[in-house]
Amino acid sequence: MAISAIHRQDELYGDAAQTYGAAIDRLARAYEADSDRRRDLVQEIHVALWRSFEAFDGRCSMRTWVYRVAHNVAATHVIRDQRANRREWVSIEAVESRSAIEPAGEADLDHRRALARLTAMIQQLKPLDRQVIVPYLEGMDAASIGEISGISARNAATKIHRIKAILARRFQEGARTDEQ
Amino acid sequence: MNNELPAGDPRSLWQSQHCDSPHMSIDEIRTKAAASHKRIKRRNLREYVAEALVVIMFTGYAIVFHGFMVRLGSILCIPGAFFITWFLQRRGSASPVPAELGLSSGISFYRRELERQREVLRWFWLWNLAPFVPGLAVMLAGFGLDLRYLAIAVVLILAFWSFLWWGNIRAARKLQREIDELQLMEE
Repeated sequence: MAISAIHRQDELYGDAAQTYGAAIDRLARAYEADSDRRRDLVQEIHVALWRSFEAFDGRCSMRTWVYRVAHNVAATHVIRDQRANRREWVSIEAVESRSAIEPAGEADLDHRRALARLTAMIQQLKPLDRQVIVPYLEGMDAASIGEISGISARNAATKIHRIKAILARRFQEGARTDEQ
Repeated sequence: MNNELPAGDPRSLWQSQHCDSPHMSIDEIRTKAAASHKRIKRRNLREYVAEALVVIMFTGYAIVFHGFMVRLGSILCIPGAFFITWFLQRRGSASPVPAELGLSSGISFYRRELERQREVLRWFWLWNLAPFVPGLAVMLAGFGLDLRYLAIAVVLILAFWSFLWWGNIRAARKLQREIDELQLMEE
């Protein structure tokens, strides 16, 4: 590879790591609960990201590219893990029905635990649903989520609607428990 | 009790997480990328070693056992072992090219990954069972077993393989349902 191309690849990666490093870290939490394995996953994403910039041609935005690479690497990671551990995932819809029978409990009363519960809920989801909920939590709209995940805008909007409903209910449950 | 939960704002909660992964320099990234390349090479080497052991084992049978048919059967199993290694390397291992990761949307990347796995499961009989059938059949015939024992051996082998095949077909169907769902979502 020419030196200028290598320089460009390094530069693109440097910009991406600077801008999206924290988001990549949070994304890895959605896919891996174990902290050591999560650190490995974050490194794997960064290596894939650096390698991917060899082929980045600006066809999509830097943000879309970074999230696609990160989610695709993470999805491969969980698929591999599922094969080894025979884990079962659920869809957003199934989580919605499960939440009705789960008590809110003391666990939701503080920030850290609420975060742990939110993360645990995301980690149960199918990889594709995680590709919707994580960008949503990062503040993206349905169109951007559709571009990253590849689902139609209509489906993305429907899923976001469900996610909002589930999260609102769970957060209200937490707040109600706090008042008691 | 203090509720630090920002009620109704899961986005703020999610984004409030601090980043705890150490920053990697470009040099570290390069080192990791080289290590990953070496890991793939080592994995391939392990597969070749396993294949070599199978070849040695069947060659040993061909030398140790007596009788033309048994020896011929042992030799016929060797190309079967080569075929299995070739099939698994071609279809079984996930090693997406870097550009694919950024160009593919999540759903198409995930669907292709599931399709690849489905193919491995669906063609289980072809890559795991069929390559050894001619060799084992000739070997069994060559052992000159009493017809009754031969029938028992054949039935046991077939039952074992049928069980494996059934398990793989079930898993492939499950993946197919998921692939169908993904295709609907892409429309």
